[in-house]
Amino acid sequence: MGLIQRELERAGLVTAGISNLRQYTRRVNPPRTLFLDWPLGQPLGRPFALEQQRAVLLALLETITTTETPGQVREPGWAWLDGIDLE
Amino acid sequence: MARWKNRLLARLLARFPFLARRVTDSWARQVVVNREVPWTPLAKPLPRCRVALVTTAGVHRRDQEPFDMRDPQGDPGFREIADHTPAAELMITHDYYDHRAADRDLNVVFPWQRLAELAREGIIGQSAPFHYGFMGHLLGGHLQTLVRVSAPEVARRLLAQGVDVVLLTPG
Repeated sequence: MGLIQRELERAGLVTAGISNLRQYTRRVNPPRTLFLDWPLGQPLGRPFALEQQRAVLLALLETITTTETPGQVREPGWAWLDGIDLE
Repeated sequence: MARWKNRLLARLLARFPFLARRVTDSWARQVVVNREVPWTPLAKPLPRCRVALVTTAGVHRRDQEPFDMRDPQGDPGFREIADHTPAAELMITHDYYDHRAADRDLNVVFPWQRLAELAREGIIGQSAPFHYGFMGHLLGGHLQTLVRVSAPEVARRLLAQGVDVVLLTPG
């Protein structure tokens, strides 16, 4: 995913991506990243957990207004069990 | 048979995080390290930006050709998804991660409905008319196709729609 992100940024778009793979992201080096140490396949959180999904999306947008160093990874440190689970 | 094995592996990785870390770190070691980072500065405030989604979670419309799961190197193409496409018209084709949660609620990997809410609240200017689905887990020559053909074509389409910001989500 980071490879696509880099090409979009190179073309003149402002990009931010979610990562659940720390080592992969370090090597690919995309411009702005929100890292969540969560299971693969649920980057926005749990199904129908609207507030959790919204919080992740807002945090991702925040990387756009707060990242000053290209390649910086923002880590809110949210544990998988945190957040609102409406299941 | 190969597809069944990949799906089983995907479920095991979702169930056992320590195993997932070991396997994904081994994938990471095959990736070329990039030192330079491309950078486009934000030119206007987010409430005036048009925002698109790009996901590598294998999301596509049901009437589009599914991502190719027979090719062990994956499918380097992309699928264009109109912003207001109803959930019932979308699906995931991707054998390399456990997408049972995302099958129930696509916002888990493709938050197009959450993005529309942020647009209505004025937190962003608007959602883009089209978003783009890819599949992750590409190997071999398909990575070059992705970087040299598919990603630049999607960039061209996004710029033509007046998109300012792209949010990328994995599977």
